[in-house]
Amino acid sequence: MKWRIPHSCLAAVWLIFLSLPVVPDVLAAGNNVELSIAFSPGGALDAAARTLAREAEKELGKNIIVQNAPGGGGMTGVARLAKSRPDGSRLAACVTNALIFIPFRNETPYRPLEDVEPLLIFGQASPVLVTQPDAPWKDMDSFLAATRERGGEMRIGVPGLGTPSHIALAVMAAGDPSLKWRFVPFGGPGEAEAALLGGHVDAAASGVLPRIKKGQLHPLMVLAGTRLPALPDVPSLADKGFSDPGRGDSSFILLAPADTPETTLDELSHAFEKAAGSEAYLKILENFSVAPVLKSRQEAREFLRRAWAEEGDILKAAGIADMPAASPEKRDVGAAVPKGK
Amino acid sequence: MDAFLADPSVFSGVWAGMAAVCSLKLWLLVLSGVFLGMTVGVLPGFGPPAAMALLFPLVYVLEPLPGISLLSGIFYGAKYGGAVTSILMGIPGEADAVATLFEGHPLALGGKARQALAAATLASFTGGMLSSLGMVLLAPVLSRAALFFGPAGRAAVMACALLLVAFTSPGGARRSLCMILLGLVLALPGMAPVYGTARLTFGFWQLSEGVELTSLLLGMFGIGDLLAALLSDHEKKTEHAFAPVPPLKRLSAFAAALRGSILGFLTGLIPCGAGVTASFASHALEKRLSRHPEQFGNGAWEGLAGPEASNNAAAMASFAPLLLLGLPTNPIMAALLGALTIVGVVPGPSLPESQPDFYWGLIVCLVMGNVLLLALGLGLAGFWAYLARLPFRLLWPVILLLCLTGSYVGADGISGPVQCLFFGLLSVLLRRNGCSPAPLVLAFVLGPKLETHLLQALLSVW
Repeated sequence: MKWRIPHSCLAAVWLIFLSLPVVPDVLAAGNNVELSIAFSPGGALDAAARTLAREAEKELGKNIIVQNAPGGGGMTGVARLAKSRPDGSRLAACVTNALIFIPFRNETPYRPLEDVEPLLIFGQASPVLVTQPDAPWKDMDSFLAATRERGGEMRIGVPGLGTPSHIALAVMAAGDPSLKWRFVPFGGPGEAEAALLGGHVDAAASGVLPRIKKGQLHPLMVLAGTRLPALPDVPSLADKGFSDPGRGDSSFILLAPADTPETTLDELSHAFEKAAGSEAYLKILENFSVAPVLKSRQEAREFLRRAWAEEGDILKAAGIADMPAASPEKRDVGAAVPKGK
Repeated sequence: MDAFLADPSVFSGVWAGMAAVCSLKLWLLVLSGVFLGMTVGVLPGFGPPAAMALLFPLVYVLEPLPGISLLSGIFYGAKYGGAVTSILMGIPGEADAVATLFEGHPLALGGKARQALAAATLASFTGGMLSSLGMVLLAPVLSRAALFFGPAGRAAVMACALLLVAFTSPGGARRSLCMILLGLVLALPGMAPVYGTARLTFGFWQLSEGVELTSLLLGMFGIGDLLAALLSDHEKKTEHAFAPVPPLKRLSAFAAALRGSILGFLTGLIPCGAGVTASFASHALEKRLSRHPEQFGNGAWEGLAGPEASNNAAAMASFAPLLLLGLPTNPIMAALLGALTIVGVVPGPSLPESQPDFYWGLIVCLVMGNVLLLALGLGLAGFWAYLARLPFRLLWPVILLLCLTGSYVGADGISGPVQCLFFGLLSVLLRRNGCSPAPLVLAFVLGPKLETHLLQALLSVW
């Protein structure tokens, strides 16, 4: 027990040990593009954006370093992007939810239309309403009939309140007083499906095509305006005469900070647009039942503007804007400059 | 499903799995996953989710089995790493490791760091192996249980866990109930888990993330211990006793590990904060069963072995709902579900039959990962124990630095260390009044889940 380690050695070892968490940051520095994904790894957006980045790397000739900046339903990632240098070295991928839906209900540290610049819309999630394979209703009509019959006792599991599928269903219910459902919010489509299989809800909004194809879940209706190519027999909202409100919330969007030079934006959006057409990318979209909706820079900007203008009325009609903490005076957050942070 | 046990395809499946794992590349990946997980587990704040996020892109280039095995290796390697810092320095990197700290840290202070680490390693090995065995034989049947537990059932399980801990933790039931309330209140600020609206953020958008778990853990235990030791007159001393563990204690600790494994396995199947609930519940159970409950909190071997076994067993068992139902029980499993989708594996009850190579291969990989972890753990116990023998005056700046950097990394900003210091002070205050911070931590971790399930249960009948 007499031997001693020199203190300087110990200090050096500990310093190395402590600096380990910094290593990824140091590696990430350099002449690269950083793409932060506004959700945690594993989701559809994460998979789509990572594949897109890998394909775009080939076009750009630069390394794209992908990291996840989850939190606040996408707020954290967008807020960070809005504050970073506008030189094209930092991009963010999020769901338009963070730009159109969340600012209606929360105070956001960014202005959704002014502080960030859309580069590309690279996909649109199309949730599917499913039931158990042995449920008594086999199609949407009998499900609607059962809903009317049981007078508001049917429970639908949704992957969170205010998610595109919830909004679509809530708007359906708002348009027809005889349709009443109890919406049970879950943490994600997986949990909603599990609750469905356990019999805790009567139907669920899900998005995993492979499970539907394997017969583990029975599809009733696509909760989007158009049918899915992979499920040609399943009707869409439009087929059943319902309006398609969810489109503003469910698109995957690539963002750059505002004031990024025009030439840089063009170069980037060109590369990513090409990447979005690649085979590897389309394969991933199919696995996650994401529709390959592609909108260029100008189209995306126009789309955001229009969706922003319409969203308020839709949310109000569905009774979602009136949920707790969604005070009406916050509706102007995007138009006016938010106070401080 | 009952016919499953008699079905010879289980055994042929296992052989298929065995054949699938006969590759050197796979082994190297599992080994590096476990080693990396251990490293990030030792670094507080830089937890397994961060490590998995870093390595996630590999899933796109690797085959399904190696990719998923690598990520799972990180997951349970980190569990071991968390136990190391809990025992040696009293800083739990993750909520799972808190129950290990209750008995492990006093043992390390009593000079038995090496034995404590070895016991923890052996216990978690027992838990992991038994749980894997359970996966092979029972999971296809038992994973249905996860479906039976709807929102109301899960909320009830969590409420029971909280009460169990309240009535067994030191300081008495009344104080512990207060701590549980405080923990639930601390979990309130931030995004409401169901409605997604910001609440109690007092105008700071940084608070929209709520109170950071890493900061709370490091503050309550790491900084809290440190301040308590610095504020008291006599220096906290590490003794140099090398008394071997008496054989009878080994036996009872092994029995505790067996009980913990069963508890952990069953809890892991239900999505209700598996590892945390299991380890706390196991500690409470051992204390109830012990003939010397007064030893708990001062280094009871049973209290170390039980929780360690159960949190590892729960970690293993949580693969069952993921693979057989596609139901992730924690954020890490959610990331793994994404990885499965990317590689084209569809989780479901038919997975063992439709993709036997993958299912059984993964289970064999999990088992072998446990064996690797046992070897690594026993091999390194001596090395870690040397660190524990450093005098406190050298150790405390390191603990302080680890806590502050850890909370900075965890919260990704300066608000982490600020919260961490605040909770350190709070912890000293609570301890002076005879309150144990453990129920608070459990309540904080379970709070949002309890709220979610309670609301779901209410919304589905209202």
